[in-house]
Amino acid sequence: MTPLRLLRCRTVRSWVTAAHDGELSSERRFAMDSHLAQCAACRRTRDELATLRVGLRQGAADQRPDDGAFARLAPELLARTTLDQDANWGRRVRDVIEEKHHLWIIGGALAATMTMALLMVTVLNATPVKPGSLASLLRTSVALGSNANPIALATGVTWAGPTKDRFAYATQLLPRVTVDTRAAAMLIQPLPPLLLENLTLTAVVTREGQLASVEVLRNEAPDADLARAISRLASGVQFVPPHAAGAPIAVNVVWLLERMTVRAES
Amino acid sequence: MKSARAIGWSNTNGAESDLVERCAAGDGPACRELVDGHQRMVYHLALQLLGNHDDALDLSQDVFLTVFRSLGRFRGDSALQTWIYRIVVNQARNRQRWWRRRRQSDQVSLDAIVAERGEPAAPISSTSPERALDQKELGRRLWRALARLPFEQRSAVILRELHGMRYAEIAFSLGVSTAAVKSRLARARQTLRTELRPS
Repeated sequence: MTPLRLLRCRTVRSWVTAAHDGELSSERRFAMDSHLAQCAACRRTRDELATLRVGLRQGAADQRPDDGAFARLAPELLARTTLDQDANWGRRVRDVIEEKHHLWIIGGALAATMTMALLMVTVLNATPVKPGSLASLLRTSVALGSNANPIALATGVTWAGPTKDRFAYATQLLPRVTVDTRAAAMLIQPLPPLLLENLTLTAVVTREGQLASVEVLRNEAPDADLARAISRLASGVQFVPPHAAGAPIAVNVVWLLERMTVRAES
Repeated sequence: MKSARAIGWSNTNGAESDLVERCAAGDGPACRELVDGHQRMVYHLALQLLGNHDDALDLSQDVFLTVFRSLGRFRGDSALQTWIYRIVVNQARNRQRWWRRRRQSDQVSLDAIVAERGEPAAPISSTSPERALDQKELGRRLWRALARLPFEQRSAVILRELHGMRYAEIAFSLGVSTAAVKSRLARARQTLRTELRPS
């Protein structure tokens, strides 16, 4: 038995269609013809396609196209074309839109996306934030110096800037560390693999921007090991010290950490 | 999915490019030459897609007006004729949508044409009066079925069976991939073949 006889009818019928449309390679045509010589069902498919074409062409001929009619209209068309060379831009834009009908689909999709985004923002802003929720915590943390998260001036420290600008207090009176510096320090000296449920950390940020006198209270008891680890970590960190009256000052800081997740060392 | 534009079957020849440039520059004789060379094709396709002489003539005029306005943007991505086919199909599609909005079914339009048909202009390959009558009846049934097909399937069948276009050319004219063309042809033929079987 030759491989040609092993061809499945389903495959051959797709080839019959391709051959009918003039899109089949000569190699496949040879295989198809061999199969058709033995398979009546596939021959019927081929004959149906041929009959379909004959019928459609017959129907088209029955429409009795009036070729002369368009020939009579051609001069008028050319006259309109000449006049149309001065067509206004609005008409031209309409033609472009009409021809590029996909623009409507893209425009519709964009409009729908923007509408949904606007709706989401509106809904999110209209939803009240529950006290104690993550959203509330984030909102309070970000709004440092606001009524929800006020900053009190240390005793003896005066603020020379506008009194209404409480965010200015935050930027001037809190020690800050750049993200890049902190990330680099943690890469060099990662924290020990401890799971910190609750942690109170007190320290001094000196006028030189160094962390000193680190003390850690963990689970209501001092943790000297952790304090040393944090001191070691902080030694590689450069803080921007707070300023008062134009000069750097040292400040006592207290961090309260709760449910802190620390990745274990590998 | 393979884009029709990516197939690279561009075959705009030098004479065609010259004709396009002259038309775009507003050369009257060149415009006349372009119309003369394509008007029959445009009118026939419009008639086959819309099924109405007046609409086909009207659409043909609109097509050539669009062609002349758009020639400046023609970059030879396809043969000029295929590009014009695309404009015909787009405008016919737009008209059908407009009709639907006006609640005028395209099927009614084509049925009216079927009802007013007379003798065939040129019976094809008839060997006997009975056979010619059978073919006429077959053509009538197939065109009724064709009129009921969705526009995208109908236009694919017409471009392939009546205008002999290749898959890639049909894909460009319809603005779809060649795979989509094959799929539409297969679905359309499956529907039409039911008309070939005795009821």
